[in-house]
Amino acid sequence: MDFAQIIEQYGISAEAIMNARALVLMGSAIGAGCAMIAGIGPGVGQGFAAGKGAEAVGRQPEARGTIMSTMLLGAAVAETTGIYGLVVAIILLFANPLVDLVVPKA
Amino acid sequence: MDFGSNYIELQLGSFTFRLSETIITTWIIMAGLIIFALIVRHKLNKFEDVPKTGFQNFIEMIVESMDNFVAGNMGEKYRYFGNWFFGVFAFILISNLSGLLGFRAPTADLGTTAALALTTFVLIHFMGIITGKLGYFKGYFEPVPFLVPLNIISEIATPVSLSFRLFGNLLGGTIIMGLVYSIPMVIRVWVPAFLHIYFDVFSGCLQTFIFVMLSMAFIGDKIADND
Amino acid sequence: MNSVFLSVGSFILTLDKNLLVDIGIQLINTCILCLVLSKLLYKPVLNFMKKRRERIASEISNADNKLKDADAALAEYNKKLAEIHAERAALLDEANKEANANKQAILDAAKQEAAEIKSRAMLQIEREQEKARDEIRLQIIQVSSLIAGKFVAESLTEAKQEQLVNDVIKDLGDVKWQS
Repeated sequence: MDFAQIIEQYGISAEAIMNARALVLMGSAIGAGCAMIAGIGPGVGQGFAAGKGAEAVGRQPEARGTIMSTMLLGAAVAETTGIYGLVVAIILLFANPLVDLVVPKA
Repeated sequence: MDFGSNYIELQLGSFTFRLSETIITTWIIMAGLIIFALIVRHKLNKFEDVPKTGFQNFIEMIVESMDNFVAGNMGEKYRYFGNWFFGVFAFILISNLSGLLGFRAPTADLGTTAALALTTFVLIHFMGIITGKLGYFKGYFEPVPFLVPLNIISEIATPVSLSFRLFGNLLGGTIIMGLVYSIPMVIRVWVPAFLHIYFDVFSGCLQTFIFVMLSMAFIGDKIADND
Repeated sequence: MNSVFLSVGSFILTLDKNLLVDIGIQLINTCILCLVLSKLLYKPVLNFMKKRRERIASEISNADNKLKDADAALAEYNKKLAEIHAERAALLDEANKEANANKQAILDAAKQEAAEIKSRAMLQIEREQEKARDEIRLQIIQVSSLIAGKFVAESLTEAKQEQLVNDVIKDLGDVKWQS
């Protein structure tokens, strides 16, 4: 990114641009942290599923295989929301689309 | 922090191409699996009725469990899906375990997992159309016609959640391990071993299993809907 | 085509044209891999196992058939053996009966013969008794006639002598023979 060009075009200082970027990055980092709160839901849900699964195995040990695969399927689907949170966090941290909004690409 | 996928950007004519570590690792894994398959093909002629070697036992075990897995999830009629899912399963499993050999898992890249989920997406709708004919399209107008956009979104959410699940799990593991490896302390000597066991072996196998099982469940669901 | 090296770097997630290219490449890779694994590994092994299963099933049914045949043969043999046993028992019975009959016949014959022999012997003895009695009587007659002759030679007449002899004989005839 050519700062000189941007400065010339928009008439703002390099320091101001850096500050703006820093602000966006700070917000993104906080946002990523907040996005990971989504991990609570799947954690609770999967724990619940695992508990019920253990209960079911205890009640019917011969159906262990079926219970296991059903539980894993359910847990995987329940995990989806947590994964979405993780993806949002990852995008905010490593593929941040917001930084480029602050300072248009040259 | 080196948990990203390294790449070399090449200019091929007017086209810039990003040759990433993911693709190189994929090719290595492919080469390994194809060589393995060639060895099996070669040794198949020497297979006996009663397995004498551990190799034959292993091959028979994996093929038979895949066959039973497909038959159990999709029904006896669709056993031939084993041909597809065997390859997918082997590729994802070896990819997830390749972290143990120092590679960056190809499945920790959205490109790979999106491609895999896309094949599942195509299979879901291909099977839906050829088994359901018109009933497949009618399915979008249920329960009420104005829910069509929601139905379409839920169909699109399937491959998205499939790909992001695998990608997120693997990338999460890769990032955490990258962070641990970047700690300049004695902790790097023995802690990563346990992390590898959890993220590569346990999580890797589990996510492989879940990806394949969910793919089967989705495809089987679409088929069963129309039967 | 000349390939020019542009730059190096690392990425975690990019949402741009490169991602689409990656997806395309990985799609092709996955399809090739699945095709090859299916052609080289999965299908041949599955076929091998299927053929083996069928062969074993046919062998088992063969063995079952053979077992059934063997069972049938065994039953037949057992039946035949039972028949033979019955026949033998019948034969033995018959032979026994015959032998018994023979025995009875022989015994009867022997008894008859013995009885005949006995009766013959009795007859002979009787005859001999008779003979002996006659002889003795004759001798007595002779002796007595001799004695009488001697005794009466001088005094007795012819008529008297005859009367005497007859008396003696009569007396003799009354005497019981102790044999």
